[in-house]
Amino acid sequence: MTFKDSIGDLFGYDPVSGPQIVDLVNLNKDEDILSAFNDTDNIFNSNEITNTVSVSYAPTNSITSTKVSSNNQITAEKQFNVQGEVSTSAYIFVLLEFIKMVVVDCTELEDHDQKLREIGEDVGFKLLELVKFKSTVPAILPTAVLNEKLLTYKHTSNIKNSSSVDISQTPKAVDIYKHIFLTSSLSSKNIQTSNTSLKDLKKLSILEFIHGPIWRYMFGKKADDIQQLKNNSLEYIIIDNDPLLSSLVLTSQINEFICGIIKSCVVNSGFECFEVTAHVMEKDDPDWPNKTVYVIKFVK
Amino acid sequence: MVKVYSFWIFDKHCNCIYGFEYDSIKQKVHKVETDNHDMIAKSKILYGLVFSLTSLTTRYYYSNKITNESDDSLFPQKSNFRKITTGLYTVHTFKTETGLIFALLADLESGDSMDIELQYIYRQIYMNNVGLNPLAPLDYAETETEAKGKGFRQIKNDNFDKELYNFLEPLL
Amino acid sequence: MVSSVPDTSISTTGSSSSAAIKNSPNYSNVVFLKQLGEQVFQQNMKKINAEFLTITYGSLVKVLIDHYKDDVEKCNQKLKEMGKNIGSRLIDDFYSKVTTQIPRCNNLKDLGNTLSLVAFKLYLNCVPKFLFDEEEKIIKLRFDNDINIFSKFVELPDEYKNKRLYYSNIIAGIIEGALSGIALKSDVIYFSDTLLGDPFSEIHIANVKRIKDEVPMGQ
Repeated sequence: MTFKDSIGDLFGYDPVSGPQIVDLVNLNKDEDILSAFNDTDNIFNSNEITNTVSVSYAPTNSITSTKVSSNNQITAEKQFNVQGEVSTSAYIFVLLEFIKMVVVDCTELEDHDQKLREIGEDVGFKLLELVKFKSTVPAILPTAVLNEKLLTYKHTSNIKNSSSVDISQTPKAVDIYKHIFLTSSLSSKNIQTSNTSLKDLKKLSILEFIHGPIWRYMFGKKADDIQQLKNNSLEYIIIDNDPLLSSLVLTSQINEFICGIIKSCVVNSGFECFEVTAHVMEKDDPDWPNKTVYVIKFVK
Repeated sequence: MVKVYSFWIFDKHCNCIYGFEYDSIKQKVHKVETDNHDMIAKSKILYGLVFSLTSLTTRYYYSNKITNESDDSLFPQKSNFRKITTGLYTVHTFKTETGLIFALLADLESGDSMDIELQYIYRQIYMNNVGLNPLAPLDYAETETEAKGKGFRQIKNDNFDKELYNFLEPLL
Repeated sequence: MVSSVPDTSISTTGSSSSAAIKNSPNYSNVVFLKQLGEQVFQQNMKKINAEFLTITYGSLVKVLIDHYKDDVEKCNQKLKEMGKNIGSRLIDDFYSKVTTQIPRCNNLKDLGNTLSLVAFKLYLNCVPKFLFDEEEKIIKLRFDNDINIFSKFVELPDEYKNKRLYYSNIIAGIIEGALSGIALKSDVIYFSDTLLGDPFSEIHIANVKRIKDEVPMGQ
C-alpha cells in the first residue's frame, strides 16, 4: 500500500510529485467533482426548499472518511420542519396567561384594556409588514415551474457526454430573488398571493386586506363579511361568525387585543382611525353563538 | 330513567371543592358551602368511603403485581374503583390523572357505569369553565394547613353552575 | 360490590419486547407514541398559524421586560412562574385531548419520550430530541436548529445576552407545572439557548421525585 493510496485522491493533488497547476478544464473532467456537483443526495445541491437542515458528521477516525472527494462523508439528513401550524390551545394558554399578568400585576395601570390594545397594536404592526411582504410576492412562477428552472442551473446533462461547466447557466439575480420570495412564502401557504398594491389608498381595500389575507394568516380562514353601516359612511364592520380565539373567559380582553391588531393595520396603512370596538352578538344568530362584530370608525 | 341524588368533586388535598345534593321533597338544591355544616359532614363521609376503598383495592392489586423494569417509586400502579353499589344507591367515581375525583350518587337504574357522563362533566364543563380559566385558583388549598382534608374553599363559578345544572337537570 | 379495573389501557405492548433487547430504546413504544402524537395533533387539535404565536409571544415578552425595567433575573423568574401556571392547567387539557390512548409511563425514559413525542408535538408541533443521562437521571430535551418556534425571528440585544435572558424560559415552567400536576416534583432548568450563542438549546429535567398522595387527617 503506497502513501498515495493510504490518504486517497486529494482533489488531483499528488503528495508524491508535490503541488502542480490544475487547469479549470482538467478540473471539469474530474468525474468525482462533477458527480459530487450533480449528486442529488448532497444537501448543498438540493433544489428542494428546506427550512432547516440537520447535518450529522460521520466518525472521522477511519481514513476513508477524510477523503475529500468522498460523497458519503457528510450524511445529510433532511428534516422538513416547516412548522406551519401550532395548536390553538397553546396560543390561548400563552395569551390568557399574559392577559392575566397585565390585569393582575400591572397595578399601576388604570386602564388594562388600553394596555392590551397597545400590545395588539404592536403585534398588528408586525403582522401587517409580514403579510404584506408575503402577499406581494410576484405570483409569476408556480412552484413546479420554478423548481424546473432551478434544476437547469445545475449540470443535468450526462457527465460522460459533456464534461465542461457552462458558466452562463448560473442563476441571475432576479431568479435568486424569486427563489428567496418563494422560500419565505412557503410558511404562509394559507395566504393566496394577491395583486394588492403596496399603496392601499381606498378604505375598502385595506379592510378587504384585513378581511382576507390577514385574517387567513392569523386564523386560517377568511372573515365572514364586511359591511358599511348605513347611517354612517365612516363606520365599517368586519364580521366573524366563529372566531377561533373564542374562550369562555376573558372574552372582552381577547377582543381588545384583536381590536388592537385591526387598528394598527388600519393606522399603519395611512388612515386615521378613531377606534375599533368588538361586540359579541350572542342572540343575533342561533347557529353562531360566538358571532363577533368588529366596528372600525374612521376619521374623515 | 336514571335519577341522580348528588354530585361531588374532591381535589388532591382530600378537600371537597364542589358538591350539591338535590332534595326531591322540597325541590331544592343544597350546595356545599362554608356555613353549610350538614353538607360538609356528608362530603367528608363520602370521601372517607372513596379513600378507604381505593387504598384497599390498590393494596390488593399490588400483591398480584408482576415485576418488570418499571420504576414503581416514581410511577406507581394505580387501581381506582369505578363504582360501589349498595341495596339503595350506586356511587360512580372517576379519578383523573391530576388527582381530582368526580363522584356521582345515583339510583340503581344507572346501570353499569356513568363514565360517559362523568367524563363529559370533566372534559367539557369542568375544563372549559374552571380548568382552563386563568383566573380560577390553581390550588384550592392555599396554605399547608388547608391540606389534608381541612380546606374550606370551593369552586365559585356561575357559568360552571349553570352548565352543570343544565346537564344534570333532566336526571335530578 | 366493588368493581376494580386498573387504569392502564396499553401497558403490556412495550414491556415484553424490552425484556428481550436490553439497553436499547423501546422501539415499539417510541413508534407508537410518534403515531399517537401525529394522529391526535391532526384530529383533536384546532390549529393556528405558528408565526402568529411567535409574534405575539415576542410582543408579550417585550411588555414583561418593560414592566420589570430590564431586570433580567426577575423576567426569567416571572416567565417560569407563568409557565408553571400554564402547565398545571395544560396537563388537564393534555389528558382530555389524548383521552385514554396514552400508555402508562414505566420509567423516566418513557416520560421523556412521551414529553417530546406527544406533548411537544401536540402543542407546538415540534419534536425535540430526547437524550437521557443514565447516571445523573437527567432528562434532556434538545432543540436542534430552529425548531423552537418561540425563538424564530428573535435576535437578543447584547445587553440581554450578557445578563442571560432565557427568552423561552416559559417552556421550562410549563414542563415543571405539568409534571407537578401529575404528582411529580422536578427541577426544570433552561440549560442553554442558541439565542445566547450556545451551540444548541437544551432543557434539563432533574431530580424527578414522586409527591406522596395526601392522606386525610386521622388516617
